[in-house]
Amino acid sequence: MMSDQPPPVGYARAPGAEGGPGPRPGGLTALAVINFVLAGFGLLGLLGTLAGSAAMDLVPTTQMSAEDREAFTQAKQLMKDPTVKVLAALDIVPIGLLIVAGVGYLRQKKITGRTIGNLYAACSVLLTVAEMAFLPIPYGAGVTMLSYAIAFVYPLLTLFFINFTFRDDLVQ
Amino acid sequence: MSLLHVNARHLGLIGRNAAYHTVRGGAGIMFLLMALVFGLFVAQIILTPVEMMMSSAAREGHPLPTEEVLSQIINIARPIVRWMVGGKLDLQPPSVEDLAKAATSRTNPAQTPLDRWAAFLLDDRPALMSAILLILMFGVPLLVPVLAFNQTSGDIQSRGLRYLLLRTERANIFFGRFLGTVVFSIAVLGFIVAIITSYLNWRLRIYHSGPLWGWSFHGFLALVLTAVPYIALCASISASVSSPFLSLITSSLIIGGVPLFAWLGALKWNAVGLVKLLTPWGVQQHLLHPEASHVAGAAVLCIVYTAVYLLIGRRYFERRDL
Repeated sequence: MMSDQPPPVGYARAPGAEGGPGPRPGGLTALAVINFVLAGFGLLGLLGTLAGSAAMDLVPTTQMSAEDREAFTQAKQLMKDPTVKVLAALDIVPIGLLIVAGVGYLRQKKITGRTIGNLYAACSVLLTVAEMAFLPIPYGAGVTMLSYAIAFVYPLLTLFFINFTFRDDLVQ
Repeated sequence: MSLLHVNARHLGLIGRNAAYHTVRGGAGIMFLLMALVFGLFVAQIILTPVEMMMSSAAREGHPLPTEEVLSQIINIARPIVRWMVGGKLDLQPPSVEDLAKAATSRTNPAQTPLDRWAAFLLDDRPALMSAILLILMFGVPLLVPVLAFNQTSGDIQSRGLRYLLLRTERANIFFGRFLGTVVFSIAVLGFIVAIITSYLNWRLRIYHSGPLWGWSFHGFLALVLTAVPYIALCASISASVSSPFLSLITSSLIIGGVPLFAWLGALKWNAVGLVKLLTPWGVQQHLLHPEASHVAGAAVLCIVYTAVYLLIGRRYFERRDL
């Protein structure tokens, strides 16, 4: 039997109770803010990558030493590699999903919050694995397994939080 | 009721809830994310040159023996480690005499205590893990406010604690939330140290597993002992400030600002340097000292600082308007 009385002052409504999931936990707000910040950084990185190859053509190499010029030419060729361009363009997918999921967290939505959040995590992990496998990293660029481990941190945390900690808060 | 009006059952219940709500409240998420990224970045900075050195030699068809890799790393790391344990920074490349001195480091009676300390961290213990732990020990106090700033201040501001006060003593709330925060930080620090040690153990394979995991466990305990006094300081500030944001700013300023102020002040007037005693900054690296007496002394100091901060915080929390 549901009571007609409102819940006592100072007590949060239980998750899943009639009328919605209850007040949004601060952690969910924090996750949404992190999503927006990471999406912003991702967009900046994407623009940097796409503009990088064009900007590199404008850099004069006449003043460089032979060693520097060779390294610069290698970097320029790398930026023009189609694999780099495709992987960079694919980055737009997790960025978009981050923004949609962030809005979903704020509105405590099941589809745009939990489902899109899971989709973002899966996309991000797959994209990092694809970069590990296909990106032609020049030898000596300092990219190791630990660099990739850092890229896995947020997607894996997202999976954990939205499927366990905030599972009952993303139900609308 | 017993000592300080603390009830163990209430303490456990409030501590468990505090640890759970740390994550749901957002502070835990921020701390987990920042600590994980910081820990992995530090490990990356230390380990990448080693991996590059090993893969470069393997690529040229001359894989380096482990001893050769370690010797090169240690020679690069020695001045930095010596500086981090309290010496002066000298980044000149090591001369032939320095290298010869380093080779006889454990037998040379003319060594300074700092040299012996650096030799212990680099020669007697897994050097890479020592370097990572030293940097983490300097970073963890600065990360702690992100986790611990809102132990009570948010509920003081919203007056939500009034409902809890009907059922338990103030001391149980104060100490219970402190314990919950400590438990969460222990879990996060343990996770970070375990990831880094696993990477060193299974990916680089430079050290034997036993000594590596043993030293990592020592380092984990040192990290926990480093973090606990700062969590207590944040508990104290959180109990005395009615705004979570103000509590975060105050905690960060005190933890980061006091040692900086003491250091800068001591450049002009030595007595100002004593201000640093307000926080346990500078004690933490002694938890990795070669002599057991130093380690025990540093651990006791951390516990004393914790107790003092907690008693001050509890006293204020008992008397304030909630």
